[in-house]
Amino acid sequence: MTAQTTTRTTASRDKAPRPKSLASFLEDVKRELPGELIHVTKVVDPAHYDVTAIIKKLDALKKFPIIIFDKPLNLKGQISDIPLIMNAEISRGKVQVALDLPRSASRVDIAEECLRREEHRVPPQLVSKEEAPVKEVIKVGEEADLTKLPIMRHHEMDGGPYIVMASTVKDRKTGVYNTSYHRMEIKGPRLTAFYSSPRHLWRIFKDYEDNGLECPVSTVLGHHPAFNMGACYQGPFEVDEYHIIGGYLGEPLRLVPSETFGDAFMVPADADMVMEGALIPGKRMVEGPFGEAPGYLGPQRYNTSLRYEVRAITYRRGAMIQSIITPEGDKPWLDIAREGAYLRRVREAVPGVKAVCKSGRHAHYSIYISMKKMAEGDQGRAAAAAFTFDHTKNVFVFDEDIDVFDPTDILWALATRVQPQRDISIIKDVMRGNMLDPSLGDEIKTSAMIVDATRPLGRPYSPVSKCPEDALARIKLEDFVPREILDRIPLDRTTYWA
Amino acid sequence: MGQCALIVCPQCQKEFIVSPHMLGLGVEFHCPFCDNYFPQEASPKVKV
Repeated sequence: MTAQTTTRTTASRDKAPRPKSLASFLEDVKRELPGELIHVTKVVDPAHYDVTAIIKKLDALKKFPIIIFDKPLNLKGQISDIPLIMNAEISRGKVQVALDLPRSASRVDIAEECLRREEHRVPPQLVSKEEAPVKEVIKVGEEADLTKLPIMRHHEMDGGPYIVMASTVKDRKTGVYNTSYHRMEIKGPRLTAFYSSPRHLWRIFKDYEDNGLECPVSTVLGHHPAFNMGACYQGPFEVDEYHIIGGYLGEPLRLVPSETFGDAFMVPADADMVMEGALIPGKRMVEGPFGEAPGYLGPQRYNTSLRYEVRAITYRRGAMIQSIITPEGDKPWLDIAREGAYLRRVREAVPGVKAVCKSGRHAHYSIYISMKKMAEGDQGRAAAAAFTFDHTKNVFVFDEDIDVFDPTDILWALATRVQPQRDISIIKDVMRGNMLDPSLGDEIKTSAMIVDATRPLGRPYSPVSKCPEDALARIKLEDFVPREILDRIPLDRTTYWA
Repeated sequence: MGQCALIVCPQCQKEFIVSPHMLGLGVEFHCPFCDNYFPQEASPKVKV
């Protein structure tokens, strides 16, 4: 492919509704969550941890605004004309805006909404290059240069700058598209080392590789958060995940032919930026270390790190490049789609399941389930269902009165409803774990644990002490502690029982 | 992960982690601190 840059303006769509994009989301946030979007106008160097440190310091203040870095340095050390955006999905409020949910939507409501959207898939819509904002600037061949982008080095000891956004491949036999998150280390202007664990993308790549073929691949470097949430979906291999993403967006994902493979491989038309190329058969690369989702550095690898040759980078005018992981390596709130997936599985086994907590550092390999137990053994069935998915290692099952999103509630139930000898079941290391779990003694196999913190049905159990409901309904606090006094009492987050 | 091995860069003497599966493969390690590529036998310390 010869080096070439093409620029143009997208054809007007005056009467059509505007497709969802990162820009449309930011407009929604400005309207719905004023104050949650800030610009950093000073020059920052993302490849030397400036961005990581700024976010870490805001984290310490419990502040998680969307941050647009207007003047980030690219990997050549020059001020980039492409801003870097962080934290677009981090917080319940932003996810509510992304999914058009009311501010009152609880975490369980959001997980249920993810389930609903996964069930109401929307087929994609094909558009021409002229209609695709992502084709406003097209750089192919040597003009496609990753070192001209503001790419972050996220953590100390990372092997280099990393792209962490969702990548898509297409199964050769079924034609379905699979989208998932893979870290990739920048190795050159048009080369990355792409880490792949043995899941759907690996299976698709191996089919190309075993037939001596290049595997077409694209990476979306910025899009509406609903796209990024849909890309977290994990389901049956045969499901086309562009349809799932359409479900998350609530509208068809508009697709346009890629520069490299034409209409044999389609890419999102309304992305801010798409990078496309091929995973090369028979080649592996040294890649890592990298600070991974469990909060630990994943070691340098070779056998599972693929050679991703970049053939084109296309973007809209005014595009931003996005990174979605925190300084700790995880993707809080973005991963909430998985909570919905667990909810679906465990409810199929036990209809009385009320909530599942799967998202958060404490829940990376552990699942917390609350349920109304109808029969003894329901808790074991729910746990077994959770083990069939993802990388589950520990399952904690609670009664419905326990808020599985509240660590104090969880620890209280573990202390008061569990007899270790009776209620903890250990399963030996017969399960596929996650290669990123630093506790593994094996490369991938893991043991597992079920902790039954439900109260027995067959005998009386001491009731939970509480204030009577009628007293709570009868007493109006402001009748006894006037508002002006109440407002002067400082918040106290040190008092454990509240 | 699960397990990791510790490697010392012969150029900058800093430690970093690699998969034990890389040991003995004959591929060069990449130091994340000084960008040096080096063979396993050049490392002053390999700890598994």
